[in-house]
This record gives sequence, C-alpha cells and structure tokens, in this order.
Amino acid sequence: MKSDFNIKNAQEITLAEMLPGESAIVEEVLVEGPLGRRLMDLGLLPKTRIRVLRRSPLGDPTVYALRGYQLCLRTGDASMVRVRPAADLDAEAVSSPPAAPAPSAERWIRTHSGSA
Amino acid sequence: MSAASVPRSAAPLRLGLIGSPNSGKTTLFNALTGLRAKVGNYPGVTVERREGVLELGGRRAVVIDLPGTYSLDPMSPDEAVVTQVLAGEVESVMAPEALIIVADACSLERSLLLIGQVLIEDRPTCLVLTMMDELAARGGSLDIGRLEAALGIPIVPVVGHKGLGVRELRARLADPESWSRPPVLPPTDGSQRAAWVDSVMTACEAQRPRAHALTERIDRVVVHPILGSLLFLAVMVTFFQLIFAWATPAMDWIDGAMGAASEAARAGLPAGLPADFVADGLIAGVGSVVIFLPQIVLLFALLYLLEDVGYMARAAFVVDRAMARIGLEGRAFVALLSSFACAVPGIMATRTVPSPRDRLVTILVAPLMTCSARLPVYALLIGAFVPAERVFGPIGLQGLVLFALYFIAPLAAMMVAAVLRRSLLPGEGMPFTLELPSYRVPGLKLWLSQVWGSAWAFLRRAGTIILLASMVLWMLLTFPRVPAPADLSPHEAAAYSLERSAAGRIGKAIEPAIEPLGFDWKIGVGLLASLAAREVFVSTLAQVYASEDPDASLRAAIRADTHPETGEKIFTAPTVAALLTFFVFALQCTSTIATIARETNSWRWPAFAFGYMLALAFGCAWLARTLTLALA
Repeated sequence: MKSDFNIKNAQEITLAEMLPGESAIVEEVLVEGPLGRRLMDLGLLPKTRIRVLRRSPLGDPTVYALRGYQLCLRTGDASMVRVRPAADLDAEAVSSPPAAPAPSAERWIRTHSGSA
Repeated sequence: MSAASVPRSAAPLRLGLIGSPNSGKTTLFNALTGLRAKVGNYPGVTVERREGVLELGGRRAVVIDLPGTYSLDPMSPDEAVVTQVLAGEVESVMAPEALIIVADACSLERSLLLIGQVLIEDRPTCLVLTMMDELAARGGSLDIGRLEAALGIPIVPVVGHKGLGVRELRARLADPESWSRPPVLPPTDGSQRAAWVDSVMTACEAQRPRAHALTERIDRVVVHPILGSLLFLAVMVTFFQLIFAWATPAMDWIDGAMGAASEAARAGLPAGLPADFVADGLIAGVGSVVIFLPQIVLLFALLYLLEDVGYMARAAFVVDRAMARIGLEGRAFVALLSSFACAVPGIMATRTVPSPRDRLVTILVAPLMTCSARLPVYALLIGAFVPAERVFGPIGLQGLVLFALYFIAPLAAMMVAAVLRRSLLPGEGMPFTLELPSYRVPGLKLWLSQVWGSAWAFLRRAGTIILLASMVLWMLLTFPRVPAPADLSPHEAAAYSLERSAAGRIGKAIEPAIEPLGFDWKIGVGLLASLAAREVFVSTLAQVYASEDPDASLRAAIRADTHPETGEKIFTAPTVAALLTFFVFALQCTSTIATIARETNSWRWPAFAFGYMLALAFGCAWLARTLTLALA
C-alpha cells in the first residue's frame, strides 16, 4: 500500500515514515472500520497538523503532537495514516513573544466565570 | 427523553459524567461527591462502576462516573458500557437525564471531537472546562461566552483540585431543565467533523497554548534513550523493592499481631473446638486477608502517585516495544513486575491497561510470576535435597537451582501470553493509543482516595472470598476430629489427627492421580493445604511429619521418609524436581483466584487460570521427573 502512494506521489507518505522533528498535515486514515474510526476520534482527521516529537528508546512507539496533546502510536497504527509533509508549522509558535504573566487560577475563575 | 417531563421532587436527578482520561474527571467527581462514591461492577464486563450522591439545593442527584473514553464509538464490550448506560440498556442503571462533559481546556481542540459525539446524543448537556489556569499559564486563551454560543450549551470553568468553580457548577447542575440546547447538532462525517472543530475554535477566539515548557524539559530526560531507560529501571526496581522488601516489616507486624491475637483467644477461651476455631480458623483467616494490605497500599501509593504526576504513561512508552513482543502493551509491565512479589496486587494493577483483551491476558499470566510465597517452598526443598556444593567460583548449585526456578516462570508467562493472544483471545484488538499528559503536581486528596479505594475494594470484594476459603481449608484440616491415643507426643498427636482429617483422606484419595509425579498422600495434603497460600505447604508438611520445627527436623524427616510397602525413599531426586516444577506452575493460591474473580467479574476466568496452570504444572512436573530419571 505504502509503495503505491510513493509511485503516485512522492509527497504522500504515511505517518510512520516521518522522522522526529518533522511536521505534516493529515490527509486521510487508510483503514476503515473500528480502528479507522478510533484513529479519527483521537484527532487524526483530514487537515490536522501533526508533528513527530520523539521515538521510544526501543524505537517504537512514537509520540506525536496534535490538537493540543501528545499521542503515542505504534508504527503499525501510524502507517495507517496518510500525511503530506509540511514545513514546521509549530516553529512560529515556539518563537512567539512570551504572553503576559499568567493570572493566578483564583483570579482567572473570578474574572471569567461571570460569563458562564 | 425530555428532561422537562421529570417532576422536580421525584426520584433523584441522574447526571452522567463523561470525559477522556487525564481530563480531570476523577478529581471533579471527588470534588462533587466527596468520598461517598459507591463502587461496583457493570454486569458482564470488567469496568468499574462508580456513583456518588450529592445534594443540589434541596434536590438530590446521583452522579454516574462513566469510564474515561476518547470516543463514544466503542471498540470493546468494556467501552460499550458508556453507550449502553447512555441508552439505558444496562440492567439496574437508569439512563442519565443530563450529561456533564469534562474537558481539558488545553486540549480543547482534541476534546471537541468527543464533545461533538456527546452533543449528538441530544440531551441536556453541560460542559466543564478544567485546567483553565494551565491554559492561561501557557499563553493560551478562549472566550467562554463565545464558546457557549458556538456549542449552544452552558459551560462552567473549574479548577477541580482547588475546588474553584465547583460552587457555580453545583448551582448549574440543580436545574438541567433550564440548560440551553444546541440549535443544530454537530456533523458525524470525518472531514465535516474537522471543519466543525475548526469553526468552533475560531468562533471562541481560541489561542492555542504553547507547549508545556516544564513537560518538554522533564521529557528531555525521562524519555531520553539512555537516561530514560535508566530512570525506568530505577523506578521498576523501586516498585519491586517496595513490595518485596519494604512491605515486609508491616507484614511481619500483622503476622505477629495475629499470632498474639490467636494466643489471647486460646488463653481466654476454654480449650477445645471453639478455641481452635477462633485461634486457627477465624483469626488466621482474617490474618490471611489483612496480610496483603501493606503490599496493596504501598503498590498503589506509588502507582497512583506516578500516574497522577504523569510518569506512568512515559514508563509504558519506554517499555512498550518489549511488551509488544509477547502481544501485550507497556502498561502491563508494572502488573507483571509486581507479581514477582505477589500476584494479588499485581492483578489489581492491571486496571491501568485499557484494552480488556490485553488486561485479561495479563491477569491470566500474572500468577506464573515467581511470587514471594513460593520462596519458603523452594528454600525447604533446595535446602534439603540440593547439595550445597560450589559449581564455579562463589556460585553454588543451590543458588543456580533457585535462579533457574525464578526464570522459568516469566519465560513460561511470555509463551502463555503469546499463545493466549493467538488462540483464545485473538484479533487485532484496540490500537495502542497512549496519551502523554503534561506533568502535574498531584492532588493529595485525589491520591489518598485512589489508594484507599484500592485497599477497600480488595478487603470488601476479594477479602471476603479469601476469608471464606481459608475457613473451608481449616475445616478440611480439622474435621472429622479423631482423638489421638494418649501416649503420643503433641506433635505426633497433631500428625495423627491430620492423617485422619478430611484433608488427610483427600490426600490419600488423590494419591493415584499424583503418583505419576512420585508424590505420596503426605505431599497431597501439603498441596491441598497450600491452596490457602503456597508457604503453608511447609508448615503442613511439618505437621504431617510431626516435626518440632519446620527447618532442621523437617528437612531431616523428609530426607529419611520411605514408602511403607516398597521401602524406597519418597523424596528422590526426580520427585523433588517434579515437586519444584509443580510449584513453579500451579495456581496454589485462593487469594489470587479470588482476586481474578473480583477483577474479571466472573468465575470463568479464575477457573480457566487454575485449570491451565494445573495442567501446565502436571505436564512440566512429569517432564522434569522423566528427564531427571533419564539423566540419573
């Protein structure tokens, strides 16, 4: 399956082939049924930005950052997700100027719970 | 079902609490209901059922804490519980009238997928956003008013462990009839769902938080190829040490206290059956339950501490590949390691494995690990029959035999796990999905309630079965009471009575069955009694052989014992090899059986575990005997 995509379009690879530090955009989940639905429920929906963070010391599984959280997937499951490599979209977020000092939790709730 | 049709003063309001793991759901549940949670099981599955009662301004409400999930689309019978409870399909559980979704504000973009699925349920729903303080600290923000407008449901921000916002939430919960409902339900199709999430994120002007800086820094060490592996080893050695060694003083203390209580009962009661019953049956039975508490409390104290901090997910991440080789996953590692000390806390620790299939395989192989109760049996037999000679350097033959016994077991466990995964419990199962949460300072109250919950669950559920089983075994070893001739010494009298008890008779009755292994009825009685706990084998043999102490004189007695008809030695090298091998594999432990029954919520799996381990024990013991015979 993987080689098919490589022949059609070198830009389209699976998540399993991405290296730590690289970013990509999810194109589609290549498996149907419960497994495919679960991968989508975990946030691997089309157009989702995803970044490879690091591999386990033993080489598998791998941690990915997507939708504001960190998810580990084994290589087998990651190869079910077709992605399009992308420039490191998170680089700007990392270098963005620091935000204003964080308000304390108490003050946060007091000022924001009025609207709830 | 329309909530408006529920009369205000009638049955308590039923609220379903839904959220993904790490969303702060348990903290919120505790903050709402205090420690008055009722814990049980859903019929037919291994999922824990937790409900708590709370008063909402004169109105009583029941909060049903649904199992943590990332999706309402179930992949296993255990996950299906959430959807079945929502549909009112679970026996004795009425469908909740209103739902509370708990979501971590920092990962709202992910949580919206679950929120969308819950909204499609189309019943009164309230969203609780946790970790708003962390969102702000990481430079993220969102407009709650706009998010309410975008989703069409009320939203309450809380900081659960500080109790902030809980009062506002309680005020909200009292009146689900007044909650706004979404005008249009979210889409169900893949790419439309992604677009819906994007539109909601845009509508509430969400600023995504920066990566958690502290988590990034800690993870540079914790999942580093070398440092991370070393840390993992250190943590696992601590786990092992905790259960194997550090629990010992408390266990010795309990042992001593139970001994003292037995003696006090004997002194206080007239000699005879009532005193025997209280001292040897009742108090010893209670002792056999309480003795597990130090290990369980210590194991879960460390387990939940590391879980709440966020380390357990990293540990699973580090070790997953090794576990994948035997068809299991990283989270099963702690359970298997703990089982080297004792299978009871080990089996309870499998609760951290989300896939029911993986969890069941782990439970079924955990009793194969060389637990500490096997050690006294090994020590007796190796001490009595393996020559204390040096093999090379300081390495002795006795040590090598012990080493071999310790390492056959996990090898067998790996093979059994692989076989079970392929035969009885096959299939792809669930994908291995593990969230690495941000590191957090754990809440003391949550931690204490988790540890207490485990200890109490063990006492109430497994403890009662263990108590009952140890009473039955005591009766088998005591009745019928045949008075010994007066000229016998107390030790000989005890041996005389034991031979004529029900246990002695059963030992003789099963002699033909165990004869191929070279075992006689005395070993049979020992095997029967060791069902209470493996080390009881030693004290029972001491009683059978009328030994004054279970060390020197028992070793001498079993070495000298001969067959009454043939005059041959009972404990020959092949018999000892068979007996040691038998103890490696057999599930000689009612406490483990009771714990498997409690954790799997059925008697089918403990029966299966007992059966396959007995078959393995018999087969391997016979093989060991045959091989030793051939070599000799």
